[in-house]
Amino acid sequence: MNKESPFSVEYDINNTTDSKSSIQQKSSTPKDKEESDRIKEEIESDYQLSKPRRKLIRARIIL
Amino acid sequence: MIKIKTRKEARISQGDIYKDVEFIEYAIEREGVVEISKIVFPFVVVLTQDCDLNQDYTVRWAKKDTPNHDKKLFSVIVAPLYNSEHLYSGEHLSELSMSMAEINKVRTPGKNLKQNQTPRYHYLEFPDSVPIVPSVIDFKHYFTVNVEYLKKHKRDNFICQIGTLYREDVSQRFSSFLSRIGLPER
Repeated sequence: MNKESPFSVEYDINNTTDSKSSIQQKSSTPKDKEESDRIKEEIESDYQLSKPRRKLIRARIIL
Repeated sequence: MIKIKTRKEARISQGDIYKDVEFIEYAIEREGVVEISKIVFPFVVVLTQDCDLNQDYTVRWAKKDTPNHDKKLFSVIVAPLYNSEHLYSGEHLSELSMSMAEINKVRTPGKNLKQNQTPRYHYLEFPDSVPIVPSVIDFKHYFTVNVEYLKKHKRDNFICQIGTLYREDVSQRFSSFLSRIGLPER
């Protein structure tokens, strides 16, 4: 049984999820950075695709 | 937010929105080589009067007996839709090496644009079911597209049609923009 009152400071410290979060404890690795860069590039290329763009076609006429 | 119709009709209709529409800037032939320059617009809206489009369809495709080709169109008027965020920053034509005027989103010019009080632009927000971010029609950038090309293009590139009342609003604002009278500044 939990002796701490839910309204006490101790209860807050022991039960707050942020301080126990495994995500926060994990430091970023080079692989994470690569993945994040890849996602960023993808977003940026999508962003550019939503703008008008030019297409140039050259073809030789064969008679 | 506007109301839209997602039902695809056979013919081109006013207020239809299509993706990836090509505009031919030029086509030249020099010493046996043909060069064609196109601009691909991610989204365009059809502005031609709906009755004209209906009559053209009747003459061209509906196979009804008509005494002549009086109602046939050569082209359809469309205008591009730009991502509103790109337009505010003046970067919407950066891929064409064009820098445009910035519009301050949080001040009067941006607010006027969003309330459709700037004659050149028409701001549109779509329901979640339509994969288009808030966008702006630029009436100054209207162009025409061949009817048969657009009819074929519609098959795979139709996004939605702007609902009747909203479509009339776009049409009326476009005609007002075109018929404005340019007065000298001094």
